[in-house]
Amino acid sequence: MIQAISVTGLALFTGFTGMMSLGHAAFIAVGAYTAAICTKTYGLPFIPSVLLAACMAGLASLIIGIPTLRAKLRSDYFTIATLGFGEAMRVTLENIPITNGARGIANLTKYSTLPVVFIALVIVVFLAKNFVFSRYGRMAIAIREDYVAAEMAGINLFNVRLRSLFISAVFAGAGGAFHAHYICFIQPNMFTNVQSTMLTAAVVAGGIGSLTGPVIAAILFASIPEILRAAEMWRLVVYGGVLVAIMVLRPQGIFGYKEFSHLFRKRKAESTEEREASA
Amino acid sequence: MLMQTLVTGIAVGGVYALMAVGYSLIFSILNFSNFAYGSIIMLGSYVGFFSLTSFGMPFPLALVVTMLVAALLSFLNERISYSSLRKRKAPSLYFMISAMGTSIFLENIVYATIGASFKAYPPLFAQATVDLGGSTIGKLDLFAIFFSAAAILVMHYFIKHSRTGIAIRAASYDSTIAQINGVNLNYVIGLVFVLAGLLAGISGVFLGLKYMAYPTMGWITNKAYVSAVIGGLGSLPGAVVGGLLLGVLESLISVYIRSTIRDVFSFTFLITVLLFMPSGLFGKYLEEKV
Amino acid sequence: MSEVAARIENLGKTFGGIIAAEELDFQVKAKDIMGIIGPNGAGKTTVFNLMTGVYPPSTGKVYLGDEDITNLAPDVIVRKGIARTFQNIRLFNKLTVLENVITAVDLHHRMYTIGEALVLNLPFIRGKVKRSEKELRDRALFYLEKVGIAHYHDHQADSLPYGLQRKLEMARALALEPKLLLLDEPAAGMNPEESMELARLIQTIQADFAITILLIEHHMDLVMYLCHHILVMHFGRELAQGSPDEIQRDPAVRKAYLGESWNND
Repeated sequence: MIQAISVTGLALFTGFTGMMSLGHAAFIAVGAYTAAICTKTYGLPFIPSVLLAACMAGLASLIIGIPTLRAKLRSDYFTIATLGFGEAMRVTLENIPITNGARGIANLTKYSTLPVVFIALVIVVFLAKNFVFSRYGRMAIAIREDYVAAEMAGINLFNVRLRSLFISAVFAGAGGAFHAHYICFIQPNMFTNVQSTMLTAAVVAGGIGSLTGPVIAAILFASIPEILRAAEMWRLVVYGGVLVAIMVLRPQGIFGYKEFSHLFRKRKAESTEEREASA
Repeated sequence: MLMQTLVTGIAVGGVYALMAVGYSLIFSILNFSNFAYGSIIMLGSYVGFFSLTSFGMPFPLALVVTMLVAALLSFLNERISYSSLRKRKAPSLYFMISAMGTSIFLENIVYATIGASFKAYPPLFAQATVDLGGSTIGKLDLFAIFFSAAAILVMHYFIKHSRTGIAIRAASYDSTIAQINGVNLNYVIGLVFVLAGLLAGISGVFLGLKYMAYPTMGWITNKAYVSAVIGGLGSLPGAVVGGLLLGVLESLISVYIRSTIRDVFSFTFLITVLLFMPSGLFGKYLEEKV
Repeated sequence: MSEVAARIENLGKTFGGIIAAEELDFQVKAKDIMGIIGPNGAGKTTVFNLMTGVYPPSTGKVYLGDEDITNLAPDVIVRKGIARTFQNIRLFNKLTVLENVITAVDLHHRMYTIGEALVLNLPFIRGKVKRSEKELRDRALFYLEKVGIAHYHDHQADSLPYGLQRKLEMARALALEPKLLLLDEPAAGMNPEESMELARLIQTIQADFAITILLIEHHMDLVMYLCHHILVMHFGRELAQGSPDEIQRDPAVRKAYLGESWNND
């Protein structure tokens, strides 16, 4: 369920803005470390630590987003930079004193209990939903669908993409903070591209352009493989295969472009209209 | 010392350039980042290793076998992961996800079957050195430089002057119009993947010789993408310059500052270049037809 | 009719040695409908791309009114008042018809901030965000009604038939509240009756919104019917310029272009 918080962030970015990040693990790492240092080293309470963690992850996203998203017609520049970013982040965490190097930070207090995480997830999904169904989400989708037309509709590609990235990173950072205080121990090699892969797999399997899909997929993914722990490597083989298979066979994923609430929303919208028309 | 570092840098850079050219070639025709390319190089490295050790092939034969196997893998990569997306005209995001899936699949299948251990190539050039103006330079490095240069030149000549090369360039400029003018797109794209695969095979063997073969070699092969972006995506000369530049700078950093920050440096360098030149060193501003 | 909506001076564009447009000079009179014609590959769309900032010109200047808009970013140019449609329709396919237009309405009616969007949109409460969205919908519906596709508003954009997609593109462009509207082959793929119906729609739009229209078209009957001023392009250059009558009489035009297609039509 903690994964689902970060997944929501990536779903927002990849699913609705149409860009791919291979370095979301780095934002999770920034969040996890910030929160851990806040609670452990500075003795801050948990909630402000989470908020601070989210902000730091957001700031990190600006470092990578501002130079790379300017090449507006080529989102590939960004994706490749995220690759380097993930690796650079891991090396940095291993080599600066405050993170205690490769040994990591242990003995964190277990704040992330089930109710806490559940409430956090509800808040995150609520915020993400509001973003997606607002003018900001609409602009992001417009860019995903056709960036030339979007630009000709007066949308500033750079601003919208950077904004999506920022919010996405904030969620990932919060996810990291919860994660750190759930397993109570963090070290740099926990935040590798394997983690980014799982996030992407959840988003893709859940459906690009959906929020509820990826959240459900994330929870499923996180619960099923607990049984298959032993076969870690084969699990990743399967993830890789599933990604290709979904793209080739069913690119919309399980819930692509749809939400659970979609039908309900549409009908409601129409009925208000009819009421107003008849009034 | 400086001389030696520079030569090592150029040798590494030459291999980066080789990888970046292969990657750029695919990028220029399909317009997306083929993240599976790094895994093909990694597999190439293993094929080279097993040809040399298990099958006891002589080096030139092993190199040729590796190139052919990598070409085949690259070709299959396209036919399985991308061709149906291509026919559907799927957005490039889907291509990238499919590429990433392929890459994860290949990397972990190596983990699961061969294992995570490092496979050291037999010492072909390891100890051999040449004395050049007072500094000792590895024969491997010299060989890598000459061979990368030769491979890139051959590739350049092929694309510039052969009939097929012209078809490739036409297709990379505008695939629809090239198709109308009688270019068989399926064939051209298959060919591009084969060519990129050949380069991947060469780079795989050289990387194996220099760093050994292991499943997460992807972190080195990622430099292919980074070089290509520094040089300007889709530009072949850019890929070469980007690769050499990155290789040389990395060697200098490793020797004169600290080798652990090498990867952080590559990333910082990438970001800096993009900050001042948003489309890379040689990136022609890619303009889409509207 | 003497006021000038847009002025092009010595405009040119080369793509790596290939000349797409060269030495173009023309003015679009305010509240006028002007046409650009010419064979395929004559550089017509290039002119639109240069005017809307898709790419910067190699030479020359573009003025909107008296303001120099050369080299401005596309989204800035739109804000200044140039909207366009595309030769090969470009809609936001996975959005609904209505949402496509809302995206454009949004440009001049930014109704709530990101903070309000994130936090204030609570379930079951009709707050500022919901009220604003309602207003955006209403405004968007107005444009859909103008082009006559309002009853399709909740269809996904790519599910519309081709002709209606063109109309949706026009509605989206109108919703940007432009001073100058650029239409790139609005009647492509239409039969003569449909294209004349479209011509009347364009006239209505021009009058109702009091805007200036510059259009690229191959349907000669439509161009001759609608436009008061026509620019003929050939190999990236101006071949002739003038009223429909003058163009039809122009020997160079007849030779290069109208010769074949005009008689056949």
